[in-house]
Amino acid sequence: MKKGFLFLSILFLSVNAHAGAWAVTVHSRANCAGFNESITWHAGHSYYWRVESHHFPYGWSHPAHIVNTGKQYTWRAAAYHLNEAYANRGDKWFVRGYHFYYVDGRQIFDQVTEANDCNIYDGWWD
Amino acid sequence: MVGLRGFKMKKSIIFISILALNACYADEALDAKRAAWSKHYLEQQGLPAPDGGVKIVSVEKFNAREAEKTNLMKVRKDIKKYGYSPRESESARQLLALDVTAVRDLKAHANDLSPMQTHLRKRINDLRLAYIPTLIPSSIFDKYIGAAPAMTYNKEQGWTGSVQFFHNKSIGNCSLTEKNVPLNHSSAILEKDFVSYDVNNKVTIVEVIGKKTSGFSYTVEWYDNNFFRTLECANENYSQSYTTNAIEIAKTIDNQG
Repeated sequence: MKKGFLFLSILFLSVNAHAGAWAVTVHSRANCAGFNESITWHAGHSYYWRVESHHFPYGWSHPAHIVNTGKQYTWRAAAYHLNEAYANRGDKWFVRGYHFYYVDGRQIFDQVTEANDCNIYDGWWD
Repeated sequence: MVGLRGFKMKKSIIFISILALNACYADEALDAKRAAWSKHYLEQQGLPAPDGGVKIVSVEKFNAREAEKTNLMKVRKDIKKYGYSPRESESARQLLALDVTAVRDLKAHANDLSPMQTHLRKRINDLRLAYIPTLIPSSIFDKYIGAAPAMTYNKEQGWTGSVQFFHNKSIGNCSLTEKNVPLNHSSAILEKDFVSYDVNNKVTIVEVIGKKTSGFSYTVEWYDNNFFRTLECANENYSQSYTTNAIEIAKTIDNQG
């Protein structure tokens, strides 16, 4: 099977804004009615962030592609891939998110997040 | 006959259990391969990678564009000259407004007891955390304002970070953000001219940013194997004594464990 890695930089603003209210929160979710994503956010507070979302098809040990926001100054850095993963047709992607933070003289790897479902359990809706 | 049926049932149960165990180990093995692939990929880019520790490098080796490096050197120069980097500080602005915003949030969400919501709570122990948080000693604050979660919520465990807000009479409103390193797999690459060891000989970064129009934020970040912690305090004015006070507050907090 030919291995190919597609690097995408996609920013997508969702209609409903859900974010950490007083501090940064980070999340991944998978097989969400069409999309896979990883996101870093803090409502109303902008920082220099970068998010890489590694998307693994079922059973794969390497990602089929990586969505990379690039470094940006924002309150919401979302590495989002639309029209990829539909739970109702049996898609079973696995998503790992890598969340980076940049400030004077520091490059911080904040957190790795992972998801194989779209269940809301980590403050996503707040 | 009953004995034979019972024996066959037992064999089936054992067989199914072995299958389930194999599936479990297969999932773990696959997950480990995925994690290893992604980590290697990040390391190849020269980026901080999961569980990569804290690395200190010179500006030449700092993985940033030339324009960013030039800006870094300007920031350092300004800090040496003025004691701070003269630019607007959004952090200072928000900390200075805390007396209003915190009261409003606590009141609006007083009845929202879900462990997964991210609004302010009265005490750090009101949060469901996946680790034991650092308690801010009463000697440090004359008013404890509240606490909120940070980072991510691990199923069945809780949040992997937190922020606490308090008022210290020697400087003003402060926040302590704490991120648990083992749970988050955090790491950092720091430019060496920003680094000191002010907080109990731990790798530390002290930075003051501000202007009269926004106020000044006094930031002390320090790193160890368990936590990445950031103390930020705000005052309308700049004074070297505020910088010193912030460092002392950080040291006292660090001594809590």
